[in-house]
Amino acid sequence: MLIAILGILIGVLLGVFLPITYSLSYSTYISVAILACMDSVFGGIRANIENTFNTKIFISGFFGNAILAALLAYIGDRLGVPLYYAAIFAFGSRLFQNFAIIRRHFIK
Amino acid sequence: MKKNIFSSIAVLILSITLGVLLSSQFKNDLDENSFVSLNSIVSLKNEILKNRDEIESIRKSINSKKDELVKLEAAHDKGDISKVLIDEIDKLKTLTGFEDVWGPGIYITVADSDETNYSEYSQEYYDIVHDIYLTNIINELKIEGAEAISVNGQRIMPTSEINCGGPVIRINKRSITNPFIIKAIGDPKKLYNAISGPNGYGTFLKEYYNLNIKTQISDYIYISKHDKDIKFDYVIKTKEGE
Repeated sequence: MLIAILGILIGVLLGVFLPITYSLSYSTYISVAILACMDSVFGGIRANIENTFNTKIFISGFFGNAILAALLAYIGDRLGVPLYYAAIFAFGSRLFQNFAIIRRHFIK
Repeated sequence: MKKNIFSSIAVLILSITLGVLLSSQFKNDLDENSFVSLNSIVSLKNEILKNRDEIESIRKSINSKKDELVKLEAAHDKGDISKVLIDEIDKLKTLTGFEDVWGPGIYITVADSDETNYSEYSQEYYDIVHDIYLTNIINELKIEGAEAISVNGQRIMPTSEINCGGPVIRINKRSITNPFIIKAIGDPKKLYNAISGPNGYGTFLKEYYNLNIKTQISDYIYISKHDKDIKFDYVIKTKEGE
């Protein structure tokens, strides 16, 4: 839990100071990918708490979800249907679910 | 225990990645990136196509002007430019209404309604021919490519007005009265359709205002010229290239 928050902080600082830029047209994909990554991190924290953490599952979920979400957004753009709503909905609802479990664990 | 450290490192690295992604996304000015709907894409596409068409037609007109120029230059080389210019003057006179012309076209007779019993809802006002009806009819004829139009002998010129003068209508500063006979030269079928077709303006006037409208196709329609010169008091010709 602490490690994750520390990591995100370091990452934010790195991102602010490193000259990382990309085309604006990709920002939809990136934002969906961010959502997927956040979902993975929250899932990882929850699994850590429940002692069911598996590094392979965590890493594969982190990248796999991000790539799949970005891919969905891309396909949706091509087809003219906002398919990334699917990713937002799935990851968003799971994010809250994981957060609820984490909360209950700490409050208990 | 070793596995625990390894997993912590994995979580750390991946959260750093997430943080980098997050901050780089924040750094981008997202206001510029609005959602582009299909409709706006299609309308943009149509606009581009229309602009391309316009460019194409402008190119064509450039080419035709170049041809004209070549013709003029050829005439100039021969030393006699007057024939080309006389042709041009003839064409312009015909177009602007300073020449008598004839050709296939239609006669339209527009007359007041025969209605004499006025109820509360059908008042006298609605049953006479108004200036706006004539304006609309002439506009419809022009849309269908009429090349020369006259109303009761008054040639419709670029400067012609159609104005309400109480019981009369004034065209070319002259009063004309009911019934109005409109003559138009052009494709007779197209002109007829524009006025007396199922959705024609004449049909509309007939059905809703009870006006007497008769349309007749003719192979020979004679339209006389405008008999006064136009004086220019205000317009100033620009020179070439200004």
